Formats: sequence, structure tokens, C-alpha cells
Amino acid sequence: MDLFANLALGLSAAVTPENLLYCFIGCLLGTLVGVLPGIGPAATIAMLLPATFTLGPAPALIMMAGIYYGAQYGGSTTAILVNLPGEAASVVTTIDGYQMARQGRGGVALATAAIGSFFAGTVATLVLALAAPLLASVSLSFGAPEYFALMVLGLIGSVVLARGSLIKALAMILVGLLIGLVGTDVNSGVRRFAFDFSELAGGVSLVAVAMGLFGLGEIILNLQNQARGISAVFARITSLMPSRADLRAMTAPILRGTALGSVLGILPGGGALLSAFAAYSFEKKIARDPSAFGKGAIQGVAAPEAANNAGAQTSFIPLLTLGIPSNVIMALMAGAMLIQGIQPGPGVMKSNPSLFFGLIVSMWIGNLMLLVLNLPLVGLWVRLVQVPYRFLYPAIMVFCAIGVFTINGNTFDIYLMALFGVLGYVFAKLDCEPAPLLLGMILGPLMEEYFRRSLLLSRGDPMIFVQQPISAALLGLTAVAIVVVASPSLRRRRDTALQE
Amino acid sequence: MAGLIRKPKDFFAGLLFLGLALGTVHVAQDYAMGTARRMGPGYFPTLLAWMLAGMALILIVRSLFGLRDGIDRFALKPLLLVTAGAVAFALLLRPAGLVVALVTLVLIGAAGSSESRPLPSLLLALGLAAGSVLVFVVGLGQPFPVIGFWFAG
Amino acid sequence: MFRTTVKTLLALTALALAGGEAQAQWKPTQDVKIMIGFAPGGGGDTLTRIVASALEPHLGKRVIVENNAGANGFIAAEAVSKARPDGHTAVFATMSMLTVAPYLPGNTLPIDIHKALMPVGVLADIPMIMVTYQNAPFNTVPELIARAKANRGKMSFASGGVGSIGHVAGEYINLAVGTDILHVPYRGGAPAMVDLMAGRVDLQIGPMPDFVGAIAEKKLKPLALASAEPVALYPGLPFLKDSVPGFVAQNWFGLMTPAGTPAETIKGWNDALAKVLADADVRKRLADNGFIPMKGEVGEMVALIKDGQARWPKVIQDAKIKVE
Repeated sequence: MDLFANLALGLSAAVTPENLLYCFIGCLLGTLVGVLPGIGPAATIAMLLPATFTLGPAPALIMMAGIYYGAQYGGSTTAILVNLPGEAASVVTTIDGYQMARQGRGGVALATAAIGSFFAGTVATLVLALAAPLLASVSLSFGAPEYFALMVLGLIGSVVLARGSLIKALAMILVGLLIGLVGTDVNSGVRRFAFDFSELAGGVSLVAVAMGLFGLGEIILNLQNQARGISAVFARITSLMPSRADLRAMTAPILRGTALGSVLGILPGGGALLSAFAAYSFEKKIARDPSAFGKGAIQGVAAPEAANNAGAQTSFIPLLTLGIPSNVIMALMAGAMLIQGIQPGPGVMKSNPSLFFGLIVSMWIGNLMLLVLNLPLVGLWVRLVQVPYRFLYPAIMVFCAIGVFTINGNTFDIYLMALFGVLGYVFAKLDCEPAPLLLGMILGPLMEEYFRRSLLLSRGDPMIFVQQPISAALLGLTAVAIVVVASPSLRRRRDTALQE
Repeated sequence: MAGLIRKPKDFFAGLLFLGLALGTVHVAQDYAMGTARRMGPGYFPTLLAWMLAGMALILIVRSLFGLRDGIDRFALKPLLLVTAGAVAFALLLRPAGLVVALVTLVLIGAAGSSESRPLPSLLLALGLAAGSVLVFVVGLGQPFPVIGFWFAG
Repeated sequence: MFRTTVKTLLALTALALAGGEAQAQWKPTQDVKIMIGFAPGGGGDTLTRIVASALEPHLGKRVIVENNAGANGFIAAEAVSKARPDGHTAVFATMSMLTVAPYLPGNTLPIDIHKALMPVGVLADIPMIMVTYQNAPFNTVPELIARAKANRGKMSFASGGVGSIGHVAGEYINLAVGTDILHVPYRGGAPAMVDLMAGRVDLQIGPMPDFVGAIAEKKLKPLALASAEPVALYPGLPFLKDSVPGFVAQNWFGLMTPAGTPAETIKGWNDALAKVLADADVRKRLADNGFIPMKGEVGEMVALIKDGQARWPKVIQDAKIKVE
């Protein structure tokens, strides 16, 4: 069958000493970069771009791909251990992963993330090999109305992220949406809510907000508790590796997360990020015991991590098949290809099959390397976190401060982070959760942009949302989701009212 | 008045949200609204702000009923010191350089814990500063001013 | 004794000549910094880094590239405008920053770029082309114009943002030939391409390297060249100016230094840049990224700025482009 021939070709291309070496370097660098907040894979790849002049196309692309999905693995590590999302998609992992770490189950959480990511990476790679051109046409059929409908669905669905009060979660999403609107409006060019700060013209830095809310805010909270003798930050480690029960519990979520991530990752323009949130919400909705979520449920780590990694792999599809980069990193890979004289696009598959399939196979090898790298390291990471908190948290502060600075190179972002640190503490005292805010921040400007562009393209006709089949279907799903989401909370409110 | 508010968490959260919402509406007045079919830059923010105000009011009203809860005291010391540490870092980074800024960050931040002592904190600060310079400046080539312009030529 | 005098005189003359040359040829006395107001990995960033590393042997000091992204390049411009005008700091400047952004009504900028900075030289140019989707019912610009006039209110063009060169170029065309093709802004060129390939918008004018892959795969077809020079990749491609009177859009990138930099310093930069941009290896790397090297000379930059200032503000005014 053609597939095996292609994979065999790819295998022979990927398993050369040079390519294996660069795969390893990429994965290692990626993990490191993912662990360090702020410096994302994009900046690292950009820094290494000139170096790739001298490498051949295969090693260069393999290394950069390794950095990319390696960073996913690394980002989960900090999300779980110290509540710091290494990149935006890891925010969801912090919800249950960090709680698991505090309960002494950090090792299990890390292992779950690694296993889930590996499985998802493997499946997604197969998807890439088999169905790339087919899926490319799917991604083309998503226009502005479809994206808008998808975002709305995602937003409603993720109300489920809330642990506590539904109203507060909605409010936090709205706050996030508003913060996301700060900056230059795509459709009119107006700079909104920037108050003469040029630094805000591009919007409020997501990393600064995340580091502030999740990093500094959590630190202040922990220090408060420590001073009052309330609880040690981290309980003693109970187990490093998942038990058989754990493995059973994580299987289905990983499968579902992989499916969701593979599909959503194909969509350029916000697909991959949404997949982690979507996977988590879905798990929570269908769980037998939804109240366990937010307190260290293993499914809450397994599903989003799988979705994350699957989305990362399938986000290569638009680049490799259409020549369109799904995100900044893909744009960099496109740049690297151009430097090597290769036109990114479907032609690559035909004109350079050993490169194309070699890249795909090496992605799988990279995932394997990362699994092998990360599983033994679990013990090391977890012990690192057992360092007395008075030494640990200043180190976290250092990483946050440096990390935030490296994004744009201006100190304004650090002030923003400090502000959100205060806000993070205040929110924690008021029982308001930060995760919905971050989701709102990411989706807000996108939603508005897609909505207004839909109306622009339809020359003001709102019927466009129901006329396009995909968009109509998604909106229909949204209506269903609203009912599904609202009903248990109505029941809950009746119950609490009855209690009084 | 205080007795009337049974759930201060909800009450103050509601106040915070309400303030943010009203502030947004105020600022957005300067932006063109447009119509629902051709939205101007001010439309969506204003819409969202009103929705937020609605949530806020629900919270405030809700806080007057039901089981009592309370907000425990704010721990001012860690709050101020952690924030001050980050701000100090930002202020000092370009003038004094990465090393001085980091040391300051750690020393101020570490003071926020009831368990830290001056000497270990200082050692930690120096260690972290040295490590960071190695990893970020030497290793990753990030453009940090290691020694700021106060001290440079 | 006479011989000694002659020798001394000769020695002194030689010294005087050498010293004189050293005075005319400015060289930096410490590391040089080039700031770029865009994120790492973008085209401009790649260009700056290629030039920076090639500059080091000619300037004799390290040339560090520092990213300070935001406000479409203006945050970096503002930062550099406050540096000492001694030639050790420069900033990456785009054609849009100099000839479009300052003239967009409602656009708030932190500095008056023409007063706070002065030009050094243009590094490179990127050819701009107009593309449409593969199955579009027109293959040449005249056919496009005819179709637009026959279908008023139905056609649209995509751009990378309000005030971008794709935007003003499109509006220029509307004004020049009397069409009303609707402008649809996107966040950058890449998202626009998706809608273009699907036929949801009809046209896009943008940097050639962005489209090359899609054209090769028959998802997009090139209609015309927006620049003035032909490109090797598409030899028969007609010029937009053949159908749209006076139309030329150059997307160029250059360097600027703080106002008040002495002329010899600028000349020192020009000399170094000229050598860099003539170097075969640099030229190849630039060409691989789709850039056309320019001369790196201040006169060339001043001329290009003047040309842009004569052209784009008028388009903005006539097409009533504004930041609301």
C-alpha cells in the first residue's frame, strides 16, 4: 500500500545519524524552552533560524519541529508542578495538574501528561501521513462565519471549566474578553483602551497576564497560607508512576482528547488552542463525578494534554499541504523552508517526498524521544519542587520576570505581570477562577474579528451564519450546549436553595 | 450595612466587575459605535461591558441572601513584597543591568516569606542571578543588559 | 640633515593623510545596536539579522539586533529616537512607517518619525504582486477591472490590516480606475490567503514570497506586478501600471538613526552597508528570502521616502481611509 511505501521512505530518511541527532537536540531544547516560562518555541526557533542556513533542509526542519512539540511537553511540566502554564495551551493542565501535584501526585500527573502526549503524537502523525491533503480541503472550508460559530461553541462549552459559581465564571470570561479587546482593532485600525501606552497597541501580553495570575498570584496565596500555618504547599510524594487504576482512568480521556485535538489542530486561526479547553470541558461534562474536576482528577490532565499534542502535530497540515502557516511557529518553519529553497505547499509532497515523509516519521521519533526523556525525569522534577518553598518561589519569580521580558523586550510587560499578580491574589480571595479569564482573553478579539468580517463579507446580512452549512451546524451545537450546561446548575441551585 | 452583606466575596467581586464594566462603557464612548450590521470599534466592548454589569448586579444582589461566608484577611506583607520585587526588577533592568535587578527581585521577594533569612536569601539571589545570566544571556543569547547603563561607560 | 627633513616631512605628510582619512571614515567605538520593532522570525527580522551579521567585519564591532515589537514598529522607533545620535544605535524602518502611518487620520503614534529620526539607507525591497484564486473568472487586470465595474458592490480585496501597503494599494486602484472593490482587513497576510484561496475574497496585493507556494500548487494565480521591476520567477507577468495609471508600490525596508546624527557617521554607515549589500553571499541569502537588495545609501532612501510621501497620503485622503 502506498502508505507503507511512503512511511518506509520516511523512515530511511529520518533514521540517519544526522537527523536523529538534530531531532534529539530539538526535543531537548524544546523541553527546556517549554519549562522556562516566557521564552516560547517561537523565539527559540527564530533565534536558531540563521543557524539553519548551514544545515540541510531535513535536519533543520526536524530540529525545529522537535523544538515545537518538545515545548508542549515542557510546558505541561511547569503547569503541573508550579501552576505556571509554559504556553497558553497548558493553562488547562494547571487546573487539575497542579492540584495533583499539591496532593503529592505530581509524578503521576507528569507521567500522565507524557503518556497522553505520546499517544496523541503517534496517532496525529499517522493522521498527517494518511490524510493530509484531504484534511487540507477541510481547513479551507472554514471561513469567518465558521470560525465565529466555533469560538462561540468553545466559549459556551468552557463555562464548564468553572469549579464554583457559574455567574462568576461567566463574569471572568467577560473580563477576559474585554482585556483581549485592548489593542488595535483589526477591522477599523483604532487603538482601543490603550490609554496612550504604545506598548498596548498590540494588545495585553497573554504571557504577562498568565504569569501574573497563575504565577505571582499563586505565590502570594501560598505565602499567605504558609504564614498562617495552614498547609504545606506540597504534600509528600505518594507515588511517582501511575497505578493500574490510574492507567485505566486515563485511557478513554486520552483517546477522546486525541480525536478532538487532531480535528481542531487542522484549523489555522485558533484551532489548536481551543482543543485543550474543549477536551477538558468535554471530559468534565461526561464524567461520572464532575465534582472531582478541579481537585486533581487525572482525566483533567490526560485529555487536554493529549488534545494539545495532537493539535500541535496536525497544525503542520495547513503548512505542508496549502503553504499556509497556522501560527507563528509554522510561519517560521515556512521561512526556514524558503531559505532552503523549498516552497512550502502541496508540491513538497510530490517534489520532495523523502523530506515530507521524513519529517513526519521524525515527528513520531521525536515523540518517542520525549517520552523516554521525560518519564525518568519525572522523579527529578518532582524532587526539585520539594525544595523548601522559601527557595523555590523566588526562583519562580525570577523565571517569570525574565520570561515575560523576553517576549517583547520591554519592561512594560513586567509591570503588567505585577498588576495581574495582585489581581490574581484578589481573585483568589474572592473565589473567582483565572482559567476562564485567560480563555476569554484568547477568544475575545478573535470572536469579534470573525463576527465583523462575516458581516463585512456578507455585506451586512446576518443570515450568513445560518446559510453556511458548517456554521449553522456549529451554532446548532451551541444551542444544545447551552441547554446542557445550564441544566445541572439549575438543579444545583434548587438543591442549595432547598438546603437553606 | 456590613451585616446586610451575607456573602462579602460575591459582593466585592460584583463591585470589582461593575467598576470594570462601567469604566469600559465610559472609555468606549469615544469609539465609533456603528450599527449591529456594521459594527464600529466601540460596539462589541460596550455590549460585553453591559453583560458584565448584569452579572455584577446579580452577584451583588445574591450576596445579600443565603448562607454567610467571609473573606479572610488579606496578607499584606507577601502581597506587597512580591509585587514590589517584580516592579523593582522592571525599574532596575535597563539602568542597573540584569544581575542587580535579579538580586533585588530575589531579596525583596524572599522577604515576603515568614521563613526566609537574610544570608540564605542573599546566596539564593546571587546563585539565581549567575545561573540566569549563564542560561539566558550566554546560553540563549537573549539581549539582556547584564550591566546596565548606570555602570557602563 | 636635508634628507632627515625630507623624511620627516614625508612622514608627517603620510601621517596627516592617514589621520585625515581616519577622520572622514567614521567607525563605531563600541558595539552597535539595531532595534527592530517586529517579532522575531518575520521577514524584516530575517533581513536585519542577515545584514547585521555581515556588517560586523566592516564596522569592526559587534552588531546586535534587538527586538522590541509593538505598534507596527513604532515602539522600537520611539526607543531609538531617545538614544544618543552617535551612530551606535539604529532602528529598522519600513516604508509603511514612513509614508503611510503618519498620514492616517486617527492613527496615534508615539513620535513624529520624520522629526525624531533620520534616514540612513534602504536595505532591500520586496516585490509585491496581485493574486487571485485559481478559478477566478478573470485572468488579467483589464478583465478584473471590467468584471468589477459590471458587478458593483460584489467584489472584495483582502489586506494584512488597515493602513497596510496592501490596503492603500487597493484603494489607489479603486480611485484610479473607478471601481468600488470592498476592502476586508485581516491580521496579517497569512489568514487573508485562506479566504482568498477559498474564493471568499477576490484579490490580494502582498509580498511575493507569501504567495509563491500557493501559486506553484495552483491554488492562486498571479495577475500582475505591483513593483516597477520584473521578477525572475514570473517572467511574463504584466505590470499593474500598464492598466492602472501611475501605479507603483514598493515595499522597502531601511535603517534610521536618531535625529542629529552627524553626516560623516551616516556616510560611514552607507559605506559599510554598500559593501554588505554588494557581497555575493549576502545577496544570495536575501534573494532566497525573496528580497531584492538595494544600495544602503542615504540619497536613495530620501528619494524613496519623498516618492511615498507624494503618493500615499493623497490616496489616503481621496479614499477617505481613516482609523475610525
